[in-house]
Amino acid sequence: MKEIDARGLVCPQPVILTKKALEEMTEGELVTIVDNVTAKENVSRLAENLDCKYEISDEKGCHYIKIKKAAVVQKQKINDDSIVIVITADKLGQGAEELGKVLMKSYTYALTETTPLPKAVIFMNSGVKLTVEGSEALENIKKLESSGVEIINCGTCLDFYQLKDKLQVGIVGNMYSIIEKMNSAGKVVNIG
Amino acid sequence: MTEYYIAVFDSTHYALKFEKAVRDGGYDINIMPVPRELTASCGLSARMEAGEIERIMALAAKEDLKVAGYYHVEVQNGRKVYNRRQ
Repeated sequence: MKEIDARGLVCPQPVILTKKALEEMTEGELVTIVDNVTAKENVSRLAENLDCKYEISDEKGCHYIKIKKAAVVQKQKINDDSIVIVITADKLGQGAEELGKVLMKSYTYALTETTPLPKAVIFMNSGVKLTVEGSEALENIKKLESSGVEIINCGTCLDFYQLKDKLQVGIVGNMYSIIEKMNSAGKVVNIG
Repeated sequence: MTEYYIAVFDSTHYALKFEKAVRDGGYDINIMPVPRELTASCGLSARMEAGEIERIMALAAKEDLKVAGYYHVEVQNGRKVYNRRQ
Protein backbone atom coordinates (compact mmCIF):
# COMPACT_ATOMS: atom_id res chain seq x y z
CA MET A 1 0.00 0.00 0.00
CA LYS A 2 1.26 3.43 -0.88
CA GLU A 3 2.03 5.69 2.04
CA ILE A 4 2.33 9.46 2.28
CA ASP A 5 4.02 10.76 5.37
CA ALA A 6 2.75 14.30 5.74
CA ARG A 7 3.70 14.70 9.38
CA GLY A 8 5.16 18.10 10.11
CA LEU A 9 3.57 19.55 6.98
CA VAL A 10 0.97 22.29 7.14
CA CYS A 11 -2.05 22.75 4.91
CA PRO A 12 -2.46 22.63 2.00
CA GLN A 13 0.66 20.42 1.57
CA PRO A 14 -0.90 17.15 2.88
CA VAL A 15 -3.90 17.67 0.60
CA ILE A 16 -1.75 18.42 -2.46
CA LEU A 17 0.44 15.35 -1.88
CA THR A 18 -2.58 13.09 -1.35
CA LYS A 19 -4.37 14.47 -4.39
CA LYS A 20 -1.32 13.94 -6.61
CA ALA A 21 -0.81 10.39 -5.38
CA LEU A 22 -4.47 9.53 -5.92
CA GLU A 23 -4.34 10.92 -9.43
CA GLU A 24 -1.33 8.75 -10.24
CA MET A 25 -3.12 5.62 -9.05
CA THR A 26 -5.67 3.78 -11.14
CA GLU A 27 -6.98 1.85 -8.18
CA GLY A 28 -5.96 0.63 -4.76
CA GLU A 29 -5.31 1.98 -1.32
CA LEU A 30 -3.30 4.85 0.01
CA VAL A 31 -2.48 5.95 3.53
CA THR A 32 -1.77 9.57 4.41
CA ILE A 33 -0.26 10.24 7.82
CA VAL A 34 -0.75 13.68 9.33
CA ASP A 35 -0.18 15.14 12.77
CA ASN A 36 -2.79 17.87 13.02
CA VAL A 37 -6.56 17.96 13.03
CA THR A 38 -6.95 20.54 10.26
CA ALA A 39 -4.90 18.39 7.89
CA LYS A 40 -6.90 15.32 8.91
CA GLU A 41 -10.17 17.07 8.13
CA ASN A 42 -8.94 18.50 4.85
CA VAL A 43 -7.55 15.18 3.60
CA SER A 44 -10.79 13.43 4.60
CA ARG A 45 -12.79 16.05 2.76
CA LEU A 46 -10.64 15.54 -0.32
CA ALA A 47 -11.41 11.81 -0.24
CA GLU A 48 -15.09 12.56 0.19
CA ASN A 49 -15.13 14.98 -2.71
CA LEU A 50 -13.38 12.47 -4.95
CA ASP A 51 -16.00 9.87 -4.02
CA CYS A 52 -13.38 7.63 -2.39
CA LYS A 53 -14.03 5.57 0.69
CA TYR A 54 -11.79 6.34 3.64
CA GLU A 55 -11.10 5.32 7.21
CA ILE A 56 -9.32 7.24 9.91
CA SER A 57 -7.33 5.79 12.78
CA ASP A 58 -5.56 7.83 15.42
CA GLU A 59 -2.32 6.66 16.94
CA LYS A 60 0.09 8.48 19.22
CA GLY A 61 -1.15 11.92 18.19
CA CYS A 62 -0.99 11.07 14.49
CA HIS A 63 -3.89 10.46 12.17
CA TYR A 64 -3.79 7.73 9.53
CA ILE A 65 -6.25 8.28 6.72
CA LYS A 66 -6.70 5.19 4.59
CA ILE A 67 -8.23 6.06 1.23
CA LYS A 68 -9.55 3.54 -1.23
CA LYS A 69 -9.68 4.45 -4.86
CA ALA A 70 -12.06 2.45 -7.03
CA ALA A 71 -10.95 1.24 -10.46
CA VAL A 72 -13.54 3.20 -12.36
CA VAL A 73 -12.80 6.85 -12.06
CA GLN A 74 -16.01 8.51 -11.12
CA LYS A 75 -16.55 11.89 -12.59
CA GLN A 76 -17.59 14.55 -10.14
CA LYS A 77 -21.30 14.74 -10.03
CA ILE A 78 -22.71 18.00 -11.21
CA ASN A 79 -25.98 18.89 -9.69
CA ASP A 80 -27.55 21.43 -12.01
CA ASP A 81 -30.00 22.74 -9.47
CA SER A 82 -27.48 23.47 -6.77
CA ILE A 83 -26.46 27.01 -5.98
CA VAL A 84 -23.21 27.97 -4.32
CA ILE A 85 -22.77 31.51 -3.08
CA VAL A 86 -19.34 33.04 -2.73
CA ILE A 87 -19.08 36.09 -0.50
CA THR A 88 -15.76 37.84 -0.97
CA ALA A 89 -16.19 40.95 1.17
CA ASP A 90 -17.79 42.04 4.42
CA LYS A 91 -19.66 44.76 2.53
CA LEU A 92 -21.96 44.38 -0.45
CA GLY A 93 -20.78 46.31 -3.49
CA GLN A 94 -18.66 49.41 -3.79
CA GLY A 95 -19.76 52.74 -2.43
CA ALA A 96 -20.48 54.08 1.02
CA GLU A 97 -19.10 51.74 3.66
CA GLU A 98 -22.13 52.15 5.89
CA LEU A 99 -24.50 51.21 3.09
CA GLY A 100 -22.36 48.24 2.01
CA LYS A 101 -22.48 46.83 5.52
CA VAL A 102 -26.22 47.20 5.90
CA LEU A 103 -26.88 45.72 2.45
CA MET A 104 -24.79 42.67 3.39
CA LYS A 105 -26.83 42.19 6.57
CA SER A 106 -30.03 42.57 4.61
CA TYR A 107 -28.77 40.11 1.98
CA THR A 108 -27.84 37.42 4.51
CA TYR A 109 -31.21 37.83 6.20
CA ALA A 110 -33.11 37.48 2.93
CA LEU A 111 -31.01 34.44 2.01
CA THR A 112 -32.32 32.58 5.07
CA GLU A 113 -35.89 33.15 3.88
CA THR A 114 -35.51 32.36 0.21
CA THR A 115 -36.04 28.90 -1.27
CA PRO A 116 -34.37 26.91 -2.59
CA LEU A 117 -31.58 27.43 -0.12
CA PRO A 118 -28.06 27.38 -1.53
CA LYS A 119 -26.04 24.20 -1.12
CA ALA A 120 -23.12 26.12 0.32
CA VAL A 121 -22.01 29.62 1.15
CA ILE A 122 -18.29 30.27 0.92
CA PHE A 123 -16.63 33.19 2.70
CA MET A 124 -13.38 34.57 1.34
CA ASN A 125 -11.11 37.57 1.92
CA SER A 126 -12.84 40.09 4.21
CA GLY A 127 -16.02 38.02 3.82
CA VAL A 128 -14.71 35.92 6.73
CA LYS A 129 -15.37 38.90 9.00
CA LEU A 130 -19.06 37.98 8.68
CA THR A 131 -18.67 34.57 10.31
CA VAL A 132 -16.67 35.59 13.37
CA GLU A 133 -17.41 36.97 16.80
CA GLY A 134 -18.98 40.42 16.75
CA SER A 135 -20.42 40.12 13.23
CA GLU A 136 -23.90 41.55 12.92
CA ALA A 137 -24.73 38.99 10.22
CA LEU A 138 -23.76 36.06 12.45
CA GLU A 139 -27.30 35.08 13.46
CA ASN A 140 -28.39 34.95 9.82
CA ILE A 141 -25.45 32.76 8.84
CA LYS A 142 -25.98 30.45 11.82
CA LYS A 143 -29.59 30.09 10.73
CA LEU A 144 -28.45 29.07 7.25
CA GLU A 145 -26.14 26.45 8.73
CA SER A 146 -28.86 25.00 10.93
CA SER A 147 -31.08 24.77 7.83
CA GLY A 148 -28.47 22.51 6.24
CA VAL A 149 -26.45 24.99 4.21
CA GLU A 150 -22.72 24.27 4.24
CA ILE A 151 -20.75 27.25 5.50
CA ILE A 152 -17.15 27.22 4.33
CA ASN A 153 -14.57 29.74 5.46
CA CYS A 154 -11.29 30.36 3.67
CA GLY A 155 -8.58 29.30 6.13
CA THR A 156 -5.92 31.51 4.57
CA CYS A 157 -8.20 34.51 4.99
CA LEU A 158 -9.07 33.78 8.64
CA ASP A 159 -5.38 33.42 9.27
CA PHE A 160 -4.50 36.66 7.48
CA TYR A 161 -7.01 38.70 9.48
CA GLN A 162 -6.03 36.77 12.65
CA LEU A 163 -9.61 35.64 13.16
CA LYS A 164 -9.08 31.88 13.36
CA ASP A 165 -9.91 31.67 17.06
CA LYS A 166 -12.93 33.95 16.66
CA LEU A 167 -14.76 31.81 14.08
CA GLN A 168 -18.36 31.19 15.15
CA VAL A 169 -19.95 29.32 12.28
CA GLY A 170 -19.03 26.81 9.58
CA ILE A 171 -15.95 24.85 8.72
CA VAL A 172 -12.51 25.97 7.60
CA GLY A 173 -11.73 25.03 4.01
CA ASN A 174 -8.74 25.43 1.75
CA MET A 175 -8.58 26.63 -1.84
CA TYR A 176 -8.92 23.08 -3.23
CA SER A 177 -12.11 22.27 -1.36
CA ILE A 178 -13.47 25.70 -2.25
CA ILE A 179 -12.75 25.23 -5.97
CA GLU A 180 -14.26 21.75 -5.92
CA LYS A 181 -17.38 23.12 -4.29
CA MET A 182 -17.67 25.90 -6.88
CA ASN A 183 -16.96 23.67 -9.87
CA SER A 184 -19.46 21.01 -8.92
CA ALA A 185 -22.30 23.50 -8.45
CA GLY A 186 -24.96 24.15 -11.05
CA LYS A 187 -24.69 27.86 -10.43
CA VAL A 188 -22.20 30.02 -8.56
CA VAL A 189 -23.24 33.45 -7.38
CA ASN A 190 -20.51 35.87 -6.41
CA ILE A 191 -21.34 38.52 -3.83
CA GLY A 192 -18.90 41.07 -2.54
CA MET B 1 -46.32 30.98 17.19
CA THR B 2 -43.56 33.38 16.28
CA GLU B 3 -44.16 37.08 16.42
CA TYR B 4 -42.02 40.13 15.99
CA TYR B 5 -42.21 43.72 14.81
CA ILE B 6 -40.74 45.43 11.82
CA ALA B 7 -40.27 49.10 11.12
CA VAL B 8 -40.26 50.55 7.60
CA PHE B 9 -38.74 53.82 6.48
CA ASP B 10 -39.03 56.48 3.81
CA SER B 11 -35.28 56.71 3.37
CA THR B 12 -32.26 54.44 3.72
CA HIS B 13 -30.65 57.11 5.88
CA TYR B 14 -33.54 57.01 8.34
CA ALA B 15 -33.19 53.21 8.47
CA LEU B 16 -29.48 53.42 9.25
CA LYS B 17 -30.00 56.09 11.88
CA PHE B 18 -32.79 54.07 13.48
CA GLU B 19 -30.71 50.90 13.55
CA LYS B 20 -27.79 52.66 15.23
CA ALA B 21 -29.91 54.42 17.85
CA VAL B 22 -31.84 51.26 18.76
CA ARG B 23 -28.70 49.13 18.94
CA ASP B 24 -26.96 51.77 21.04
CA GLY B 25 -30.01 51.70 23.31
CA GLY B 26 -29.22 48.05 24.03
CA TYR B 27 -32.01 46.42 22.04
CA ASP B 28 -31.90 43.56 19.55
CA ILE B 29 -32.38 44.77 16.01
CA ASN B 30 -31.87 43.13 12.64
CA ILE B 31 -31.81 44.89 9.31
CA MET B 32 -33.68 43.03 6.58
CA PRO B 33 -35.27 43.83 3.22
CA VAL B 34 -38.84 45.12 3.31
CA PRO B 35 -41.11 42.08 2.89
CA ARG B 36 -42.79 41.90 -0.51
CA GLU B 37 -46.19 42.13 1.16
CA LEU B 38 -45.46 45.64 2.38
CA THR B 39 -44.48 48.67 0.40
CA ALA B 40 -42.22 51.49 1.38
CA SER B 41 -40.01 53.65 -0.73
CA CYS B 42 -36.84 52.48 1.01
CA GLY B 43 -35.93 48.81 0.66
CA LEU B 44 -34.68 48.35 4.20
CA SER B 45 -36.67 47.45 7.26
CA ALA B 46 -35.73 46.63 10.83
CA ARG B 47 -36.84 43.57 12.74
CA MET B 48 -37.32 43.79 16.50
CA GLU B 49 -38.43 41.55 19.34
CA ALA B 50 -42.11 41.86 20.24
CA GLY B 51 -41.26 42.20 23.93
CA GLU B 52 -39.09 45.24 23.32
CA ILE B 53 -41.25 47.16 20.88
CA GLU B 54 -42.89 49.54 23.38
CA ARG B 55 -39.54 50.67 24.74
CA ILE B 56 -38.07 50.98 21.24
CA MET B 57 -41.01 53.06 20.05
CA ALA B 58 -40.61 55.32 23.07
CA LEU B 59 -36.91 55.68 22.31
CA ALA B 60 -37.65 56.47 18.65
CA ALA B 61 -40.18 59.13 19.67
CA LYS B 62 -37.78 60.67 22.17
CA GLU B 63 -34.91 60.79 19.70
CA ASP B 64 -37.19 61.97 16.89
CA LEU B 65 -36.27 59.06 14.61
CA LYS B 66 -38.27 59.02 11.41
CA VAL B 67 -40.21 55.82 10.92
CA ALA B 68 -42.80 55.36 8.17
CA GLY B 69 -44.63 52.66 10.10
CA TYR B 70 -44.45 49.72 12.47
CA TYR B 71 -45.94 46.33 11.65
CA HIS B 72 -46.73 43.44 13.92
CA VAL B 73 -45.77 40.18 12.19
CA GLU B 74 -47.27 36.89 13.18
CA VAL B 75 -46.10 33.64 11.63
CA GLN B 76 -49.00 31.19 11.35
CA ASN B 77 -48.34 27.80 9.73
CA GLY B 78 -45.41 29.24 7.81
CA ARG B 79 -47.46 32.19 6.55
CA LYS B 80 -46.84 35.71 7.74
CA VAL B 81 -49.65 38.00 8.76
CA TYR B 82 -48.84 41.71 8.86
CA ASN B 83 -50.77 44.22 10.91
CA ARG B 84 -49.93 47.87 10.86
CA ARG B 85 -49.75 49.48 14.24
CA GLN B 86 -51.66 52.70 14.59
